[in-house]
Amino acid sequence: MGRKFLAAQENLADRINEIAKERGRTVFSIVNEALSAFIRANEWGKDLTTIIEDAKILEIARNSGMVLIPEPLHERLMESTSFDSKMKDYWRSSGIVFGRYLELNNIRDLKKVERILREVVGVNPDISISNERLVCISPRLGEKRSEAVAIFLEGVMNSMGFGIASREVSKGIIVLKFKQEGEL
Amino acid sequence: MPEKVEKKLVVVRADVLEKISEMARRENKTLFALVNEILQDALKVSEMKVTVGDLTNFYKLIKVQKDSGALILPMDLFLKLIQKWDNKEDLEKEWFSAGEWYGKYLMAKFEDPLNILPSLLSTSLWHLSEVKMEGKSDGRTTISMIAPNADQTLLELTGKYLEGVMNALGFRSIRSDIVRGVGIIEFLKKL
Repeated sequence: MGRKFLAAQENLADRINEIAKERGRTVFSIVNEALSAFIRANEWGKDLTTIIEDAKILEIARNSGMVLIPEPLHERLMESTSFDSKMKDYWRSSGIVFGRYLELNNIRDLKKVERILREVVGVNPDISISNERLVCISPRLGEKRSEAVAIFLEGVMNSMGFGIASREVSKGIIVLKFKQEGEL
Repeated sequence: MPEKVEKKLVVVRADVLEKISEMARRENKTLFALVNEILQDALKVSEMKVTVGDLTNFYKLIKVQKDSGALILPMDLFLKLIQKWDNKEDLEKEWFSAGEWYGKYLMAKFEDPLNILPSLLSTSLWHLSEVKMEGKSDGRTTISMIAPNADQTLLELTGKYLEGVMNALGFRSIRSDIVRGVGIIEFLKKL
């Protein structure tokens, strides 16, 4: 395996050198690993920065007590259980807990919250938050699941200090208008 | 006048450098600029106490799960849904068939699904603290799960799910021992 020299910014090279010492690794292995990860990401049609951001979001979801479950199983569970007020309370409090977790991790920027919610809500939902409006579109969400997700999202927004001014929920489409608590 | 950037030389694999140089050309960037961007990303990742290689692998494995239709759901909510289901036997059948479907998905997607399965399990079964899969020369395979804080029903259902996965991959369960926080399931290759 041939080796070559490569020029890097001195401060970055120095920091990598420190990390190598701290973790008992070589600078060679760390730099190669980073460059190889970049090449792999490119082969997947993604850039490394996006992958790192997405992976961080998944870590947030995992650390906040979420589980990954097969969608059909979730659908069956939702179909067979009544969506009563108790169940709605569970969805709301899950949203509140998740919102608190984001806050504890200093995630308050709504654009970042939007990106996180896209990863953790439903299957490939199109979620946007702007102008005091949260819109979630996911054609695969049935009526019951759309209502459940809407309640979860309300919980998240509530725990971030926003009150819900109005809501429109239909199969696969959720529109929540919100305002800072106190402005309502 | 722009501030002069100090440079340092680092040693890299020649084949990796060749690919990166090619990518820099394609992106119309200097090799120096691209390398610095990559190293900056690697440093960001190291603050999370993981390596950039681990993180990209984690991402790839979760992507396989999400592409297979896996959903992210708050654990407490999921447990409430499970508790509301009256018939445990039915629930176990549902988990088994969800696992079976997933096994078939892996067979369709990967040439050697048994090779990638251990990493997929340890990356995606977030409710377990540890999950290990070990194949033996006599055709037996053992999957062990450790989750001291997990709900017992959830652990048992996960066992059924794994039985479904392995069934699709050509193994039948010959022993399933799931007690508080620990589970061992043994499989034998089907003839």
